[in-house]
Amino acid sequence: MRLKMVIVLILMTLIVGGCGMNNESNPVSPSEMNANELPDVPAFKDEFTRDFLQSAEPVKDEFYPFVSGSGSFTMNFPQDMKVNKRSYEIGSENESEFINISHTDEQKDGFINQKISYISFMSNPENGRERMRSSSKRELDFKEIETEHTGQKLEISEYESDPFSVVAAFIWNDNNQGITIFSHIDCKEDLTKEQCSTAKSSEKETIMEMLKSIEFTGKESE
Amino acid sequence: MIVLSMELLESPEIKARLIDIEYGDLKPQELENRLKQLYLEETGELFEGEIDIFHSSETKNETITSSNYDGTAIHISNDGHEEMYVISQGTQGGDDWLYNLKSMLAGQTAQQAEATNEFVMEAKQHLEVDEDTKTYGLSHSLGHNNNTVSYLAFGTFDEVFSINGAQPNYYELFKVDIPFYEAVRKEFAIREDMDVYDIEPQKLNDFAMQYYQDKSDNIHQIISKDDPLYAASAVRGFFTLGNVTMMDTNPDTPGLRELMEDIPDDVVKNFQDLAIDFAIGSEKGGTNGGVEALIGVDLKEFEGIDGFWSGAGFYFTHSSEIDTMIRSLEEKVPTLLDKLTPITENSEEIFDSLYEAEYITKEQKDVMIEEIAIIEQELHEINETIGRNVNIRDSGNPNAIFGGDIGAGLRIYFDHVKAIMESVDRIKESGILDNLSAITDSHSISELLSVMSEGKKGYLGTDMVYTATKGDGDPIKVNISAALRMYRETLPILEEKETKIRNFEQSIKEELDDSYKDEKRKVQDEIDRMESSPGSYRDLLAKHGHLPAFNKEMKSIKVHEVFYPLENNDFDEEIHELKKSVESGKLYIEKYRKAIEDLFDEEDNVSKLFDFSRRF
Repeated sequence: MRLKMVIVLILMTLIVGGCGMNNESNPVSPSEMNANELPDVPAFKDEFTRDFLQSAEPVKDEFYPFVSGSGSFTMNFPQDMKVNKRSYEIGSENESEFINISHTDEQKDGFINQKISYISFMSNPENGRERMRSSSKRELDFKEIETEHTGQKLEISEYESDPFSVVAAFIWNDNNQGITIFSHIDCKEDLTKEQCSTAKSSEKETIMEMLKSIEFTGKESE
Repeated sequence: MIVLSMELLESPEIKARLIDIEYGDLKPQELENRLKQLYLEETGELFEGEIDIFHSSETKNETITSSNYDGTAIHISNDGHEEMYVISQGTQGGDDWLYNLKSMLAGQTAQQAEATNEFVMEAKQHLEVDEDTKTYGLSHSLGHNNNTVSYLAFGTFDEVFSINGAQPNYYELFKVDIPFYEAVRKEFAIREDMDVYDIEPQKLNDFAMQYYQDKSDNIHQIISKDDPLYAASAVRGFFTLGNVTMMDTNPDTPGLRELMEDIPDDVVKNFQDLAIDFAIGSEKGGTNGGVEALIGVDLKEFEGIDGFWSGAGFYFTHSSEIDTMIRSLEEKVPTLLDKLTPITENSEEIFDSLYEAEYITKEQKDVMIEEIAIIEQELHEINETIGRNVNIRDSGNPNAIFGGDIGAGLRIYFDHVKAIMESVDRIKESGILDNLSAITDSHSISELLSVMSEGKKGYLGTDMVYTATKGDGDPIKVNISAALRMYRETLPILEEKETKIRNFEQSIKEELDDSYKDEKRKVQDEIDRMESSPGSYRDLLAKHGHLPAFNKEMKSIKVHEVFYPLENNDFDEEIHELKKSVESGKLYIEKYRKAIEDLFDEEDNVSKLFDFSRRF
């Protein structure tokens, strides 16, 4: 009796288990793909970063589509950067999010580290600017930058804080959403002054590409 | 400690007591009265200035509300001198403990520090305090971390003062204080922000101390050597900045910090790593989510399997879950073990010192050491089972894979996960968690106040106690705070009683005497009307005939009225008794005051305290 049941059981295991093998045929999101099918770039090699990327198809040369963990904004994410797991933070009910992004490629001349803070409850854009001023202890003077996204504003303020070139960016809309971003660029040690400033301006282009691509996805209506 | 700057609330005792009272979330008027009484008790003077209060529950700013920040801003002005005190409340309830775990141990979030800054800005606006007014942060526990991080990163305060505070964390500041972040990266040549965690903690600590040196003079702290939070501050991340006055509240036991300092830094680092994983996991799915983040298994999915056969049935319906479980165990358990082993290797030392310091019993120590070893052992076995299973998977024989899966999955669950949960239960049963929570008494403000006595003055809880200066024999201690509260608060109560009695007298007059007259007048009016115009009452004669033959007329009406006087309306005696009870109440309170005054010499000014206590 018992032996019979064990045999039946094993048979059923084979059938049911066999059926279960191929049931993962959803549209491919990078986090579900095998590592060898993914682009061979740092953003995809890092498991934590991979979870934010929506597709293994670049949206633009060297940039991949990124959705924030709170689902509140999207942007173009550079292939040679990654999201730092340890300092990542998401507020209750997706009301806020902190993302720290860094370059990983040791071969590069210029490096970017970014602190991105999103809040869904910015009562007044001046509070956002003031917050950036007190955080940086500088009189930041913001200038508006044109983007292709409507209904939201991008303002930036740049400064030098040796050895870093800093881009402070502030993105906001009338729906109480706000993103403050500090991007720090620095150079490899052994560069000449000229080489460093060339490297920095090339990294600044990457930053501007990211900043201009940021788009709020809107809050669920309350 | 000389703190000239906080002039209006100068002594550490008054600040400590105010911080404690703020925990009560009193209404503004009540808090104002309590503050005035504190001022009176501590200075012997009547506070005659203005006090305005703004509580964080009044704000609509979501940075503040969503962070669970809780605090009160008190604007005080006296004789043209203005100051603002902001009390940031310490740990309260479950949400804050999670925050503690994250921000304190993991150095992860500074949301409440940002909320502190926003709250102070809003309070200044709301209370119409101008920018130059000195603003001081007062706090206990977690509040100190909020206030100090806010002060260092955003310049929120002019000075901060705290009791048994949680220290600021340099990883938090690395995140929010941009100039500090830049300085750290420059000093330690950090390429990636993440590398900050690889800097030797002592070096980062020394650097942070140096970097914030000029602000150190504006940070004042009183800390109990036995405070568990102070002990926890020995771990990486925290740096103790400012003028610190240490107090020994329990001279018989060694400070907990001495125990903590013996634990090697890498053990602490491992613990932090586990705490971070747990914190991130629990943010999404509560404690279960935290456990899931650590071992990769969602325990909820396995509820309700309790024997091999139902387990086998479970496998048919949940084969993909078992598959996922094995995969994630395979990934998580080795790392978990790497982190856990150094902790268990030190468990003997950790629990032995807790036992020697008499925080836990010998039995509890033995239970802990034994059970922690069991948990580690079980994890090792899970690891081995998975290792064998992976070999089978790699063999490529499909029958063996499924047999292996079901065997491994159920064995892991029944033999090991259950054993771990049983261990946890035995730890709970030993009562050790309750013992450890007794340690938290030393975190309280009142325990610190109790050793801050001076001369005849002492503290009981946060009440002030005087030791009588007169009389022989054992010293008599009087709770002055309670006495003043009673003296002060009974007067309004007795006055209210008087008012009620007056209302009662008034009611008697209105309800009985006046309404009797009223009714009598109505009847008399009707009589007068009938007598003066009898013709209009002709239809009263209707029963004596019918139209058209009806020809009777009403010529005159005469009423013979008798009004009986109102009886039983004399309450004079009762009212007199009631009034007398108020008088005797007042007399009693005065006798009470006199009795206390008699215990003290005249120069103790106790009489003045009573007088002043009724003037606010």
